[in-house]
Amino acid sequence: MKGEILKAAWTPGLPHVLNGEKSLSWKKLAEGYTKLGQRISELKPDVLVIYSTQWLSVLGTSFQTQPNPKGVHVDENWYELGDLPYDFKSDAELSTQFALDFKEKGFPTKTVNFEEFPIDTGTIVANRFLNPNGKIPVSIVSSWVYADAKISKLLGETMAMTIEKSGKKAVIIANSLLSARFNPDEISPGEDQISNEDDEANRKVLKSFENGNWKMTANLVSDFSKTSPMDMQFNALHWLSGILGERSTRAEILTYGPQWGTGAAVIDIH
Amino acid sequence: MKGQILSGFLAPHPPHLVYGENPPQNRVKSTGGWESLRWAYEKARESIKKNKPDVILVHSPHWMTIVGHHFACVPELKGRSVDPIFPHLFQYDFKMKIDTDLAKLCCEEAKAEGLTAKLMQNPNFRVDYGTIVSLHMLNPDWDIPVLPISANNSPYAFSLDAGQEQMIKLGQATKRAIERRGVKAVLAASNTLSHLHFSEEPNPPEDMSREHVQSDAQYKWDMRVIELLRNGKIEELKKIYPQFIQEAFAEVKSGALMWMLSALDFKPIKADFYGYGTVIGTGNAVMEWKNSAGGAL
Repeated sequence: MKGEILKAAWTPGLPHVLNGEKSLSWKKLAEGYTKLGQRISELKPDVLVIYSTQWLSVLGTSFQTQPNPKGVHVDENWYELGDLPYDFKSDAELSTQFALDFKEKGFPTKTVNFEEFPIDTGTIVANRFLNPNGKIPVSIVSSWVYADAKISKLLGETMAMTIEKSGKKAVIIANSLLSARFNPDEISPGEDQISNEDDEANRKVLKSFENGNWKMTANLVSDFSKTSPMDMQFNALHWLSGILGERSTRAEILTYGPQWGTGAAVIDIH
Repeated sequence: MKGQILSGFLAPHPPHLVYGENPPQNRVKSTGGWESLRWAYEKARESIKKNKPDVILVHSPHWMTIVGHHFACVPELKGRSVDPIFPHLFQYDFKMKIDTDLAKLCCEEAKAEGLTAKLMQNPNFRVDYGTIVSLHMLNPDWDIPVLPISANNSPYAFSLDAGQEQMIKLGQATKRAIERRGVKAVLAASNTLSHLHFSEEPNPPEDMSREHVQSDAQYKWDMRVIELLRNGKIEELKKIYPQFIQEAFAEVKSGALMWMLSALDFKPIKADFYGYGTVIGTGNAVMEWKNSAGGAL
């Protein structure tokens, strides 16, 4: 039986979303995240595939194969927001196959299977909402710092083929910001906001998500970069466009709002 | 008694150096490698043992913070640090005593400079590998209190000039805090010089037949910068800094070297050169600026 992609999603990875009581925007993002988590749970996927822009790799693309990552992470910037315990299962078999298949395309890859390897904040936040009991096996892929749009898209295309031959039902998560203009100062969470220029750029991308034309959405990145800082060159978007390929999709923007000045959104793509 | 900075070190942090040394704290073992840099660090260790500082402050690009400049302020931090980039080389059990009084003074003085500054007081905080590698290579006995300082991301998020300006202010704030605390301090700028590297490593990683600088242009940049530093030509260094950073992708962009030189008042001290070596293609130098050797500006 061929594997399939049941659903894709775009999610934020900063820890503020776990502190909804401090800001209306963070609260709404948490509500959107919770709704998405419920929808994913109903689909009963075999695996959650998470691309996290907060897991940076240097020696090519890395894939997590530690069978049961668990521990307590403290965010290096927002440590006062509390500890982030995590405990989930990895789909090591699928992650290993992702690495083999992308390596076959001529790109450096690594599998990562080390106790106490520092799982990134973005992955932990996504799991908290989308896999709260840690029961769905997870396959995490890193954001290679030297990857460009073309490589990221090819990575997505390759992973889509791997999923198909695996026979597994997968939900795909691109864990990334939209505009990545952080407020460099302390702010009152209630006053968190996105600048007008970033908001305008974000809304163009969101509209394009809704239309489901991935080629057109990817083409917006060039214009976006002229006005707004991007999260890892928007490689999560290129990866997502590669993994969804020519599929006809529609997106539902469950929430969109600021997180410390950046643009964050929870988007259900089906 | 007024505190003082005894010296500053350029103390690069490739985890390969700890891996090559095989200390008991690192769970991963090697057959050696990168000796030229490790032996350079032996000279730095001798100097520290001789001068007996009360505290070592380290500014690391791998504790990168978005909102201001952060100072670790927990009496003791311990745990296992697994390098997210080279986890197969560095799985280190760390335990460090922090000079929390100095952290508070640094934070206070940084705010007085107009910088956003914070005290990191979460005891579960996992110290980054850059901080640990530089500190281990300078003082493997860990018998001197330390103060980890974050690298604010302003040189990347805004502009090089704006970012370096912040590091200069941070250096001045650090100097005043040390004076107020009344301690003898050593500063460690945890930075590589040229930072372009290879994307694949040999098997085993310590196969030194595969280790060389990423490009000749990068090597020439490193030598030019080291030559300036050896001759105390700090003002000339400042002039070429942006070009060096851009063309050699130099890690000093993150601010540690500028922070340290500022804390030393940019005095034209001729730095002692202890050694140079490449790690997966990057250029690394171990150097010391002895504050007592500083002449008038």
